[in-house]
Amino acid sequence: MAIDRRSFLASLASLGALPFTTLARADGAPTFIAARMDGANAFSVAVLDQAGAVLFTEELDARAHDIAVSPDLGTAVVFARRPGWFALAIDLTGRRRVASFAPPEGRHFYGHGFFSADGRLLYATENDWARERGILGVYDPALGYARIGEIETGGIEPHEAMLLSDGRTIAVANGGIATSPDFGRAKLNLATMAPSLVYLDTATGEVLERAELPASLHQLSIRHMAQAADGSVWFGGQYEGAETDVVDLVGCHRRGGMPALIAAPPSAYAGMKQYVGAVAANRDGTRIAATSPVGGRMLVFDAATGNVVSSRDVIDVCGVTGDGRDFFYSDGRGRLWRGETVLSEDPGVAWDNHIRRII
Amino acid sequence: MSTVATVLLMMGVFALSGVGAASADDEGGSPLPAASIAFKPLVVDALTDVLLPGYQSLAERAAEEAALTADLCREADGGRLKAARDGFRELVLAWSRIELVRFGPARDQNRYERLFFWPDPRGRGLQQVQAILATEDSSAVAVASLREKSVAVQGLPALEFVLHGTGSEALEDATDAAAAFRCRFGAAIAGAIAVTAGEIVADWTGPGGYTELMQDAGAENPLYRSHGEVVQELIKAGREQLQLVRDLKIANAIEATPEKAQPKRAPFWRSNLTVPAIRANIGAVLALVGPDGIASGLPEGKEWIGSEVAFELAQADEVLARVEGAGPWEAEVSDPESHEDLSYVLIPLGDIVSLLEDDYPAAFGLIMGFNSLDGD
Repeated sequence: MAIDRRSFLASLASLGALPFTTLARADGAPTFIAARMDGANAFSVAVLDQAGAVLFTEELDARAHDIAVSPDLGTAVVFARRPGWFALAIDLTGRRRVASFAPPEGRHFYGHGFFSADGRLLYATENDWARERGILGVYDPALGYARIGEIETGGIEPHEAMLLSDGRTIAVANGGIATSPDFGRAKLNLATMAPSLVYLDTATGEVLERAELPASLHQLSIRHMAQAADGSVWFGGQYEGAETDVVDLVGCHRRGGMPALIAAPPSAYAGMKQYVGAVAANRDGTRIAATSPVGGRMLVFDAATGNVVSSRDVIDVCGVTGDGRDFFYSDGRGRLWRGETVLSEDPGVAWDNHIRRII
Repeated sequence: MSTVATVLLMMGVFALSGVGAASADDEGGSPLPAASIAFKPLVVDALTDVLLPGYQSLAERAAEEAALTADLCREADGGRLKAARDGFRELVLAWSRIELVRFGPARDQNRYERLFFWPDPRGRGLQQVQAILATEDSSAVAVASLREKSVAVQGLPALEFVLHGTGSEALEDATDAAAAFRCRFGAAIAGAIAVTAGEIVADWTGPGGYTELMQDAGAENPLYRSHGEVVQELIKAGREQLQLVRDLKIANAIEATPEKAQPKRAPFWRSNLTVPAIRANIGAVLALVGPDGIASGLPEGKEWIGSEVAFELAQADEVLARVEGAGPWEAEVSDPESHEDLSYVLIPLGDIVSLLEDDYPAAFGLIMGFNSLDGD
């Protein structure tokens, strides 16, 4: 990865664009958190206020991916990008790092995780590559994030996993793509991949339900998701089959039913180039956003009707989180967006795949 | 660049614009102005000079290899085994010159994996191939039924094991019944490769094929909204290939020291074609993005970028040629001098990977997005 600060400046200069000047003082409460690249091979996680101004940052050794925020809003845990070997806990009140930890021997992080409803446990999606199993590693924050157990996710490559609104059920997006750290990020099983959306019971670790797409769509890797107000789980896929296949990239699953892909006008998905990089619900769960950095497009769906209510073309857009009725989102060119508006732009920064709301 | 196409849908009316539509730039893959660059001729040249002849050659070499292995099965002897192995070498080199194309018809029906199931850290392909040999599975010696089987038993790594793996010497023995089965399996693999390669060629060149898709980029095109986007795809393919060669085929095999080297992590170690295949990979990237390829379209003042691609890749190739001449791959990765040579090769390859994701596309007004470059 070598898009460095110099080239950002150069490319922006060639555009005739000027960085925004943030005049407002960044003294609000921690509201958003996101990983980013902020120089040649330099990475950090940034905590932002409601206006998108940077409150503080923590330097990272390598590129990170998603962040889990504790239910008391006091702690954020940043996960390394896959194959990831570190996680970092940040005290959001004290504005400092308080712990760092690694997966055990034979496991690596996939980059996503979440806290239990009472905040006493942290779950991280992990790869047990020797046995080709997806794992949720269970860590205890009170014990310095000691790993106290693990749960099988019932599929290969759990990517995003989340605690659903009942506070007890976990939804896991098993992307289905096997990798091995011996071969970096190379995809080893595209011909036979079998993604799934699996529900697990936090209390017992048992698989409650397993949802799969029809066999003809076994190459649509289910990777990111969000829960809508009605409890349904919306997911975004990345298609590994032929570019010329026309595939609906966003789906919705209600417990006990079959997952349904959400139809949209063909041009809507075509602009996503078979790739969804992040999915989020707005604050009241009535709208779902899916972003595609590859296509430079964000689609917003009405969660009740499945209709596309908005399509925005934003180059390299990816990180997205709910913001009132609409969404707060970021792109790889240093911009933060609220709804239709660019809030700020820092040409020295590339916002990474995910952004999380703290409050 | 604060104006970005934003289309709000109201009243059920659906109207979408492509990336960059707001900047009224219909030639760039991004809204950066690049009006002075004629992307279409670069696309046409890449298709005519690199991609299509590459696939054509693959299909031809595969057909030849199918004939050579069939000949060996008909009348086994040392000369015919050598001919089949020589044919395999030509086939591997042909593949290595087109391996960088990870888009288009090769992605359809798992054709890429059918041809080149690699990497395979668990040795699944080997296990399946050995099981076929051990059981003399009759469905593996006919092309059609072989193609119904696992992708791992119908491509180049499988054929390599048949022709160069343990027990392959018996292929020259006309009286060995097990070798006779092995030979027929090899001939079926070569035939399957020829069919797969032929399908790819057909899907590129046929009416409405991928060649037309790339040549006819534009607002109405379902895949490529501009020729700039196609050029971006090609640059990305070159970059990915170099990164894969660097990280997975070389760095991963040589490790930090000669003592730690893992030569079998690289492809084609059994046939000692690892280095020739890598050199063909690099040669293909040079043909695609070097001064005679896409770099010929670099704007004035940016020609140095093409020269740098050519210079650095020539450096890498020169050192690789030395390693190839020094001895077999398995031995050379653990040889201190060759190990040092191979470690050195990582530097120019890394430089060009960086160039291809940064200054090179930027000179064309194209952006390799941070989030879109390597997905997650």
